Amino acid sequence: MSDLRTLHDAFAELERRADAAATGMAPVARPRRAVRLAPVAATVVAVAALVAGVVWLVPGGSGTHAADPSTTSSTAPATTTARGPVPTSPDDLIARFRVVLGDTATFEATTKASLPPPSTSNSPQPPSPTNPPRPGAGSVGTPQLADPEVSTGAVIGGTLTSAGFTGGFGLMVHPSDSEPREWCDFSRVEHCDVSTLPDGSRLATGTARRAPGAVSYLACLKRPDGTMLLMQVSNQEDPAGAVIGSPGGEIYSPQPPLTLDQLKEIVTSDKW
Amino acid sequence: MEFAEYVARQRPALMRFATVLTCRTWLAEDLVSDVLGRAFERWERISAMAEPNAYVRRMVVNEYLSWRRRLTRASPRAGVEPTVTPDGADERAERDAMIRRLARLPRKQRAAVVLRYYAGLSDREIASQLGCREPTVRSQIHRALNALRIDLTATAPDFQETS
Repeated sequence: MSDLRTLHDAFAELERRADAAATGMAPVARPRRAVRLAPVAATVVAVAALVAGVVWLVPGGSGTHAADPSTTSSTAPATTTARGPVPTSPDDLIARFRVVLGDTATFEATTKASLPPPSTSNSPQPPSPTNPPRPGAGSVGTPQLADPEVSTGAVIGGTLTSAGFTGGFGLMVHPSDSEPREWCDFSRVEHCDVSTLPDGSRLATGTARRAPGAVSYLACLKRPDGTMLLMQVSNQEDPAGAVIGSPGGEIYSPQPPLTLDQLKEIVTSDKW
Repeated sequence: MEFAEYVARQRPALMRFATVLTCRTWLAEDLVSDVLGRAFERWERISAMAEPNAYVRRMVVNEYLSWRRRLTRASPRAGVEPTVTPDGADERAERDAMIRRLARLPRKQRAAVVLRYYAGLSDREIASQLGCREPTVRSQIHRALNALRIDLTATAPDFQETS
């Protein structure tokens, strides 16, 4: 007989295979598909392309990043008009994050993605001659592909270490139509605290505890110019907590490597 | 929240969940892509929900259950992906044997056991996700644990059920 520990080991191994597949290194013996398992509509293909566009890129550029003063390129004051351009590629974001962190922490980015331009509303773009609606889809068109050449934001994730504690982190910077509070709701944050800063930015912060012993902090800043900076840090592998209610991976430390106040300082830093 | 934001942040987690559910990464990729395709069409409504992620997860489960029906017809002996690097260690062998037993479970039993022990849902939440009654959920999980050869009384305290 086995016990639940073995079942959890099995889940962890399957998660590892999923992560390996996502980075293109999966030891997967993919069987020949004799049948299509589900109808693939045009939209699905388009969305798959969108997904591929924002897909978590291979961690080829990963590595431990520490603060490097020589890379400091943005010392603009914390005003909307004087800030440098928003990082639009994962590598730019990594470089900028390194500057913002200074000697506060070191990090290793293991997942990277580019984000496509935001839609003009919170709904998919309307159909056009080059973007025709598919039959039965009403007015729903296909989404923009996330061409790295036209990406307007980036996402990175990985592990971060500070003061002897290691945890997972996720960081997304891009122009957005979303509101900071939405990320509190989405992340099941307890007691979401939303405030408006002197420059008009809105900041949402909170703590999530998705599993026994797991702590995740969230800080989401929406600047007046529409730029959103979302950062989550946790004492476990996946600061986003995976699918709601699921374990969120291995717990690395008894506490997250950064405090919530440090997270606020990072997203509101004038070094972005 | 925009759809691209959701995908960028959540696709890895959805892939993990779908892989645990299907025991196959290639199936999980198709499953997640199809579900995201459907979610995109309804995103305006889904993003306005209190728990959009829970809704998408339910879509994944429902899609998986319908796919399994198709899979059973198309490939009744579909196997689990082989482990590429056999190591011979007892614990890993036991783990891989568990994955094989998990993959052989009837679809509803597997969904129930994954929602319970991976997603951490209560009987009531699982019943809602699977569209059945709570006693049915308990019965499905009981049968699944028997098939998985799991003895709850032999489980270490830190892995005991929490709900």
